[in-house]
Amino acid sequence: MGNYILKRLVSLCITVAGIAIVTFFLSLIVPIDPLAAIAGPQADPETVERLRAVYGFDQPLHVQFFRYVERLAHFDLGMSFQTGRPVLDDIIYFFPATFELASIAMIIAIVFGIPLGVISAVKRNSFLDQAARVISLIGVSMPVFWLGLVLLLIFYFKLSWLPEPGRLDIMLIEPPRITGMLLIDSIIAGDWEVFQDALMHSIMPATVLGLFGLAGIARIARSSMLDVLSQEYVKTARIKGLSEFWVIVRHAFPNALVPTVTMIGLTYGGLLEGAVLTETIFSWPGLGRYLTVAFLTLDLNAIVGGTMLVAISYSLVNLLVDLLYAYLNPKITLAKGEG
Amino acid sequence: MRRLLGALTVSVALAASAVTVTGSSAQAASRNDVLVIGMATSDLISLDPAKAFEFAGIGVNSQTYDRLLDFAPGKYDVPGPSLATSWSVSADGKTWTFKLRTDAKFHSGNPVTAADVVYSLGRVVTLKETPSFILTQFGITPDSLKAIDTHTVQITLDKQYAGGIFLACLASGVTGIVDSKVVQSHAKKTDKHPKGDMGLTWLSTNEAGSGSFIMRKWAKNDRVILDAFSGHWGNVPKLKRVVVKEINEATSRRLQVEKGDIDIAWELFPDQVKALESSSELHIDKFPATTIYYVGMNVTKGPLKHAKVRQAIRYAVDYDGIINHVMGGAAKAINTFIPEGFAGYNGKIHFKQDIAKAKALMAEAGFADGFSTTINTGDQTPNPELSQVLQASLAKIGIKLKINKMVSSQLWPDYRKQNHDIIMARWGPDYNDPHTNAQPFADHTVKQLSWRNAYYNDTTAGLIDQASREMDQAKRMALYNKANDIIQQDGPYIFLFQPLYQYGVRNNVVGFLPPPTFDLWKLYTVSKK
Repeated sequence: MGNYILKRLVSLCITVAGIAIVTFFLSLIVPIDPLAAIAGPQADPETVERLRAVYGFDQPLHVQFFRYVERLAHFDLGMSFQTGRPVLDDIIYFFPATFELASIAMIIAIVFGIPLGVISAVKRNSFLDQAARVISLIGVSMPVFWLGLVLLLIFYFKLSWLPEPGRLDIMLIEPPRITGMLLIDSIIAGDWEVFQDALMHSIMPATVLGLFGLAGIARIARSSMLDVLSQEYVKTARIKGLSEFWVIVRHAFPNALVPTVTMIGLTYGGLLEGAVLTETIFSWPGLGRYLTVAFLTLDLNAIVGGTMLVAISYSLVNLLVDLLYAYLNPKITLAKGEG
Repeated sequence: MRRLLGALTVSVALAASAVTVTGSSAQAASRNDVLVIGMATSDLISLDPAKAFEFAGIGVNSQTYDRLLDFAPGKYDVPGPSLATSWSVSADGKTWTFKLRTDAKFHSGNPVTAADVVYSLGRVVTLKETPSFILTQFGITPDSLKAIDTHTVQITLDKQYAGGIFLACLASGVTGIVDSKVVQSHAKKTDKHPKGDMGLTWLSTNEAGSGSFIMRKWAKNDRVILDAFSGHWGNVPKLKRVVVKEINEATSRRLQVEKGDIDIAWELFPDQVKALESSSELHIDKFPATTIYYVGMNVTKGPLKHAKVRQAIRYAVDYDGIINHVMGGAAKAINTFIPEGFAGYNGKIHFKQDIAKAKALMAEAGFADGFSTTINTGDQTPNPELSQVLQASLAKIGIKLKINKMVSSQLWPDYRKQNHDIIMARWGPDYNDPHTNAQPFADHTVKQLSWRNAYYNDTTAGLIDQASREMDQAKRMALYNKANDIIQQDGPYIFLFQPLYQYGVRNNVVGFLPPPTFDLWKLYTVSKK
């Protein structure tokens, strides 16, 4: 097991190195001048050329590349042109908010998605099944921007059940930053007022995000459940006289979980990139908005840093999924699971 | 698995219990000494006066730093005393002497001295960040700055400049005076500044000023908290605290101001304004922004080299349609490069849509049958929409306009290389004097807008140069206006409009003076009933 994890971590490093190299060369192909972003629209040609030298863009390509590799080898992601701060600092600053939101969204998606899928498989074509399908459809097809604004209008503006966009009430002071996740930091500080307020603030954005994940998870859970329910061993269990409840809970459900876990892993990986629109509507200071600005302005260092973070997140979530497989289904051996 | 399910059950229960708690009450409205402003601050990247050149950054700095001179809130033509109480210029017009007030203190408690002024301005011209040109354009180097005594500063320029221009620049955001002792203690060596960064890294997220507000906290992409500085020499805020909350989505700003969670919603669009107009709890404050939306025509490209063709195009444009429909009325027509709010502004309108006249001009120029050309336009609203109106207008005089949408990181470099035929663009002043616009629009030698459109007019360039040395303010304004008349009739631009800033303001907010630019934004006048 330990050996396996070690192997996977080595392959993760290779993946990340590969991504770093590909990103560097891709950024060269893009027909956009990164100096435009640094200098701003009003700068005169001399300023642009001066800045080009300051940032080393006037150097030959191989020099730029080796400088880049050398920096990465020292875990130095460089400075963001946009913010003028080290990219690593920016990522450490913005990622926890995204991680927190994505995790709550994932919990919502799992807690509601799996039962929804299982129930609609068991009660196939019933009213419940139809209802679940509609919910899935809404989750997949509703534009996040629109859904977010509608929820705001109803639950914040009209009903006042949920607070305004943002992470925390304007009058509350954040607890000392330890993890950067308000819910965790407030627990550490024992500040329950902040905890409750932060939780309330996260409900709407997490629901919007979670609904999207929920739809996919429910659909996979449903189809794999249907698949499992038609298997011989389920019939055997029924013939043995086991009640339908135990057939589902003990025999069908654990087996249907494997593909569902894959879906959960993929969805989670996706959410960790940060959800630009959700973050914008709900004034959520996360990575999605940071990276969007970086992409739009060709802030190369920030793009590389962000891309690597996404790659690492995906790889780690994948590793976790593979480990879960072994736990869920002992017949899957990890050595074969590599790939 | 059981453990996982257990954990999930707990979280659901937790979430459910939270939902039953009543949501927020109108938080901003309930506190009389705290003002909450909701605005799009995603462009907030540095709070260092030597570096900040984005709206939000300059806006925050205007609260936390004092300058030598400043514009009084609501009065934006000539700057008055601030840290400097009086000033004089030598007979050759090159050496300026400023007397500092003796009662000014930094937030650290240190007194504001001539040494701080020398350090602050020297820092700007040494670090050479984007806004540094505001000082270097006068030939200022670290050697030009001298502390004569504790409260007297001397600045020597490379030649004589119009006093109005120089003083306006000393009242701009980049000249915020920093506490040299505090900043020097935070200097460090960086790749870009191997000899030390003069606190550039530290000041990007911290503050060392003497302004009316102390920056208590900047939570990036979330909020900036400003606390009143009770030790300010003159402008002690009426409020205890101002929170600038980042709300990038205009609809969200509207909902929150209507509900009272924020007191002022910055920059609302016509849709939101319409929705708020019926509210009895708030009102809309308007002020023309100093940005100018214009169309640039490259005079080396085909028929555009003919002055009559450019004139015909100016007569073909549906200005009213643009203002009323694309901008929803939140704009005003302008036919000058001096925006309303600046000294020398002249409201004269040279062009209104007149298709018959435009057609006649096209025929005179030999293009009765029209021609085809391309407009480059940014991909952000309202640029594509403006280009579409232009396309429809020009079609009426036989010009086929192809719209070429580009992201801004493509658009501007292309413009700088004079590659465009026509471009949909805008220009914002860099400091609060007409010179900041007159020079780029009318003087090709500075390689700005006039040069980018390949319009090399020595007459207008000469007028601007003359204005740059004219010490008499009225005569200087006359020179700009003379250049403007030529530019309007013969130049490479169509001046479309000056947008209006529209702010949603709760009725209990008093003393808010909507500013035309962010470096004129003053919050110490605001209070709440």
